[in-house]
Amino acid sequence: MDWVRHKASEREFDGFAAGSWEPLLRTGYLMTGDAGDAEDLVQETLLKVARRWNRVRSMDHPAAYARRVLINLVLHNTDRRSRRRAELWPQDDGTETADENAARALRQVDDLAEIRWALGTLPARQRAVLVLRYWADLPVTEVAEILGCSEGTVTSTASRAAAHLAETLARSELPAARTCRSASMKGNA
Amino acid sequence: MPTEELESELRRVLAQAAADIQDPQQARQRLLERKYRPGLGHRRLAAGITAATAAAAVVLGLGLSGAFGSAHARATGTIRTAAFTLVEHANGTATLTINPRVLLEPSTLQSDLQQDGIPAIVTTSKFCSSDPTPVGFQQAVSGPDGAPTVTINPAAMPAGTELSVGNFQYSSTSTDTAIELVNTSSYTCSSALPTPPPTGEGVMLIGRGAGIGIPAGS
Repeated sequence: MDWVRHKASEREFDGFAAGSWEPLLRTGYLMTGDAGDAEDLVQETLLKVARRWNRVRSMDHPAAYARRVLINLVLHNTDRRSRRRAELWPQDDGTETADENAARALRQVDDLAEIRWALGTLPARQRAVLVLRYWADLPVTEVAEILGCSEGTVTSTASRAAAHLAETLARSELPAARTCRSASMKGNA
Repeated sequence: MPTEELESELRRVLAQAAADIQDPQQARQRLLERKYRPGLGHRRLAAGITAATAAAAVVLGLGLSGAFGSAHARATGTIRTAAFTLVEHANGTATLTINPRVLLEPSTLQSDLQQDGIPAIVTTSKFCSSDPTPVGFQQAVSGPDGAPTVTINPAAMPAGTELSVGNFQYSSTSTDTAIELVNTSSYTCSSALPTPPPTGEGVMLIGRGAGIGIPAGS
């Protein structure tokens, strides 16, 4: 009966991969800003899922598990400078005016490459909050669970990340800052 | 919490940025062929993912292929997943048992049905149907009252038809599944769960918490 179990597992995993690769790829694209890097992330993710497939297959939402794996791959492998950078960002003042300014800055951007570049300047956890909350459209509770933090942290990080994103877009020119790292280091100098 | 206006702008720009990925079909092809080689070839290693991790992943990839095997005999057998069990019988029929507590992966069930010779459109959160509904449902699909199990006879399905299987989650632990015949060349899909007609040919529902099958016309 082994072949039945293996065949079933294989077909089931293939079906899962076929149904989940695209949202994973787009999540990875937003997290990395690069299509090749996104594909690498999806491959790593699927390999990790495959390794645990006997357990994952019985979960209610295997796709949610895979998304969590992908996000954690990015977060756990982000270098310390990113965390340091997060600490160096000025704290958001929490006023509605700041949000209005941020919304205006986002409205004025019509270059998608600039948006991806600006996303890349954010610390990985801030990027993850924006991607999970506003692209994957997950509720705050689920984002908090994935990132292992409180709901309050998610909402405050979302505000801070949005403000930083808008600030970066408003003050920066893409051609002058070709790489995320050099641009963000300039911004924090 | 960002204002609603800002949240709306964030959703818009992120959706646009995510949709802008170049040629995802090539990535799809590589992924579905299990050409898992993260960080190699023309693609750069994902930022922050170490070469050691990538190397381990390649080994895992090869191990995966080995464990699953690349060539499979096709014979009568049982496919058992958390969401469904599909038993292929020697007489060409198949028995499908849906677990109403687990949302199924539509592509998996669709692929498994098709490999058992049962053309099907399997969907989640939507259901596809034809108007008028093709005749022959009761010959093609049958099931005992009160059980989430149906027997499908692909030989009895009229030419040019296939099964529509729609799986709906109505709570965190329960699903409904609807089954109907559709014309392959003419059907529409909607997010509404169909209701069984009072008599005659029609749709079969499985689920509604207690795991009760409701044959059409019963």
